[in-house]
Amino acid sequence: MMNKPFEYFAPKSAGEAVSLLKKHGSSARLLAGGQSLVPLMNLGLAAPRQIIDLTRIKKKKDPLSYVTANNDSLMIGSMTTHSEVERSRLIRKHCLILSETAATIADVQVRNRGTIGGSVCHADPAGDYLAPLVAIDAEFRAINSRMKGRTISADKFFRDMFTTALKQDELLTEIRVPRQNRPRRGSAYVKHKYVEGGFAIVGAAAVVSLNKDGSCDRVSVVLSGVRATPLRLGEIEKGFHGKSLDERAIEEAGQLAYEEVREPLSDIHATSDYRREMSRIYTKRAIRLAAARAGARETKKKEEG
Amino acid sequence: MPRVTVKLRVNHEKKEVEVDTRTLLVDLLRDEFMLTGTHVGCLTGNCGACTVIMDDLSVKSCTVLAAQANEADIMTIEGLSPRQDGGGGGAKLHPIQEAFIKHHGLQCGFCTPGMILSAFQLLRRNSKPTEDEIRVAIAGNLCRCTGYQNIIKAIGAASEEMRSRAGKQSLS
Repeated sequence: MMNKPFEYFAPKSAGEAVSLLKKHGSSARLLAGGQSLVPLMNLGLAAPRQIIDLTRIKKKKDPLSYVTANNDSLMIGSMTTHSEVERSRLIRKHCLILSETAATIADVQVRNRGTIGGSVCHADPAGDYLAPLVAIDAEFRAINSRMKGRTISADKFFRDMFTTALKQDELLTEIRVPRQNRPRRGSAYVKHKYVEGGFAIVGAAAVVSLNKDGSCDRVSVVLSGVRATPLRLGEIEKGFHGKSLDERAIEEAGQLAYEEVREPLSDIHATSDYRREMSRIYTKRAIRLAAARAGARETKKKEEG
Repeated sequence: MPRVTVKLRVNHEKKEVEVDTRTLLVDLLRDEFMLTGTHVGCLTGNCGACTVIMDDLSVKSCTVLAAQANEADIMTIEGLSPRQDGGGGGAKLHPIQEAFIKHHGLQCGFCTPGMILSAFQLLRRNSKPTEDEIRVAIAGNLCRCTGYQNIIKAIGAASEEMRSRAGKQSLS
């Protein structure tokens, strides 16, 4: 059994959850799907004094688990599970990259329980959602203990390893993502993992927009797993406006990724050098797939990367 | 030590217990209810030996606090073959269990309860899975004996058997 005892609270509403957070301060932790926090507690790596369980919030009265859409965006409740993100028809239709990402997380049992909000708040540098959410310019809605809401852009949300912009008494309630199914736009998430369902050694999210003549309007690439926070590859974003996204251009983008990813993380699964080389390969794969989905003609899939 | 009352249904039986808040669902099942078919492997959500069905979804019960199972409906491997009175642990095996025996889908048996419940989750969502879909479905269950091939065969055979039984039922 875990070493350190803790008090358990099961608030029935988001408001009740944030007032408990305010009351107990930094010794309390919010428990979402528990797929990271409970193992960390079992290992003795986390020992909160109070657990505030969000899974008991009443789904009908005060939901944190939903997917809805308006003309521009999808709204995803923070307690929506990875399985729900993977299967949601709305997400599959309007933001395929997120369903694709959810399907790569861990395994069925973890996806049945783990939540998108819990995952982004845990902010593991190798977490799968981080890169795609930054690449598609997601926004995060939070409320504080005075029930005041604010919106944080994905670019500003991830502050450091396991650290987000959320304040001590704030709760993430919703993730908003712009609809992606526009003409001549394609996006993709691909990752390099050491075992089926493993964390991303390198995860690459690419969004490609093409002009009517087939040339590139914009390409953005964001990487997970290489830095403490998701890395947006600025040089690629600047480099391809008006150009054709052919194999040579994609090769060039891979080189830009390699140059921009200096001294990435190093751990038991991958050395820094290896991660840097994989950043090149997976950047190319992500752009190639995104460009093909956007309808580019000259993107042939090559097996060797 | 802080304690919490948990009311739940396990294999169709109503239960109510008071436990230490640190109790995991897997410990509740094994130590309080003596349902030792649910195994403890890693305690980190990797191995899948503790897989149970919670409110119709497969979960790893070492990553769920017992307190979170309050008001939940849990099915363990013991509840897979229901008795006439609706309880678990009936004498007749479930077709997935029969297929694991017939196709040698186990050796030491440690991973088997979790493996079978992952197969159960799959076949409930998808009565005719492809081999790839079976592989994805058991990605969260580690087996160190079989090399998985016979497990995959067993799940494929179980899906055929279950479809054929369902077909016969709908004809009669």
